[in-house]
Amino acid sequence: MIKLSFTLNKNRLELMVSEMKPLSQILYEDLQIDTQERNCNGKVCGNCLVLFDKEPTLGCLIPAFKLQNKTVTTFDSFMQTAHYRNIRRIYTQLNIEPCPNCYAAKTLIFESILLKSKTKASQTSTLDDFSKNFVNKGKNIFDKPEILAETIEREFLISPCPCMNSQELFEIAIKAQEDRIKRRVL
Amino acid sequence: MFYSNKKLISPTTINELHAIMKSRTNGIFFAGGTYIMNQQNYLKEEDTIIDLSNIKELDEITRNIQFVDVGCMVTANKLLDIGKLAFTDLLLDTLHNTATHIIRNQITIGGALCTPDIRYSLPGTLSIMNTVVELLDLSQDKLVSKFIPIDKLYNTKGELQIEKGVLLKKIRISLDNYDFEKFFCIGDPIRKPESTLIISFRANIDQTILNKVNMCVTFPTCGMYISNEIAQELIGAQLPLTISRTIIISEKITNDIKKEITGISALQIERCKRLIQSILFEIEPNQESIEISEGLF
Repeated sequence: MIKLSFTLNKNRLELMVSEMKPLSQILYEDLQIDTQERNCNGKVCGNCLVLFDKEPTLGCLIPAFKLQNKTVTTFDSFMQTAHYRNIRRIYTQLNIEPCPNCYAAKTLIFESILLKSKTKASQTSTLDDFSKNFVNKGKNIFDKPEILAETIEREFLISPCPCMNSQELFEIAIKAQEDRIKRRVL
Repeated sequence: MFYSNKKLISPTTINELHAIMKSRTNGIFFAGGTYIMNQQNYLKEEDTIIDLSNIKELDEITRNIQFVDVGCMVTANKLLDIGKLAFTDLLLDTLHNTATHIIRNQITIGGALCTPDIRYSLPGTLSIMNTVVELLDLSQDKLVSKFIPIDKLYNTKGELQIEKGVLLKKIRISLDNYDFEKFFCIGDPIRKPESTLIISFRANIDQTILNKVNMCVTFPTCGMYISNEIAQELIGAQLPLTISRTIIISEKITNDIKKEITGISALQIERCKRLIQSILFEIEPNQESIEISEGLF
């Protein structure tokens, strides 16, 4: 057994668990958080996504000993953020949303894609490097960072639930990104 | 359950790891965890988990003109980000296709190469890129290090040939440039490895002649196929290859694969044949070298 100390949804926790117990099981069995899938027995279903140190990560692949002094944000807590409200707004606007089975996972994957495109843009330094990250290379540096349909398809492979098609996923990602830029959601 | 209580050790240096491994025969290295956490009965009761994530030396990337050294704990995403300027599209495509961004954050290079019974896309591509790996024997009294070509890590069935107590410390990727590169991954290697097919191919072209060919076909659950004989046969071939020639070569390769590797499905064989045909058919004469030679005369 290992004595863990980590932050879950902004609350500092201390817990005694087995070293190799997956985070998804800890959340369900030890902390009674059941909004996400408990355990898919290694099928990488994608339904146990959490934000692990702000990075979207599959809970079933994180053993307990890796949690020491880390920050975990579950979907319940993510729902209180401006980033969630941005994605939620687009779901309503387009009248498309994931089914209840994969709602949490797909929403967190959108968050991952939007965060990644933001990081990409801020990492680039020169105008030339910067322009490579945009759809239209001729536009100025204030254009939005590129989100490719190919990236969307690849990233959503992790959540194979067929409730939304590639076109819908792509549309939501693009609109959410535009909305974030417009409303300055950082 | 597979996550019942285990002893956990987190060394911070290679020397510390060596001291631990000398005294233990049941140590299991834990890199990213994407394989181990998926296995129900992989860990035995007496196993000790040795977490490698705190050893800084294993998480380094260094580069010179000829090669890049990548530590075994470097994640696929980190290599992809850093390697954008150094690596060719073949390796970048392979890393992209290894998994989604979320999983690539966790997959380490050492872990991806050292899964005991399943081969993903990385070993095949690295094999044809003349990559060597540094192995550290931690079970001896003195630290013994040796470099071997990456394809020597596996047998024809794709099974890992590293002994217990040996750590894959780093990989050395050669920075040779090739004129023609192709990577295909058909299927889902993580969810349906038994039906997946992965092909990595690269060739050097001198004007209208093929002068260097490397190809690896990976069947994740059955094995890897690298044929030097067929590559030799292609060397000197006049480009573009005729349809009949591409058919003959692809037939030869698939017959060879059927002989060498067992357990492959008919669908995988058919896909393999068609993909090889399309790759060979796509190789075109090197216009750049033709223009250079025309300019000379």
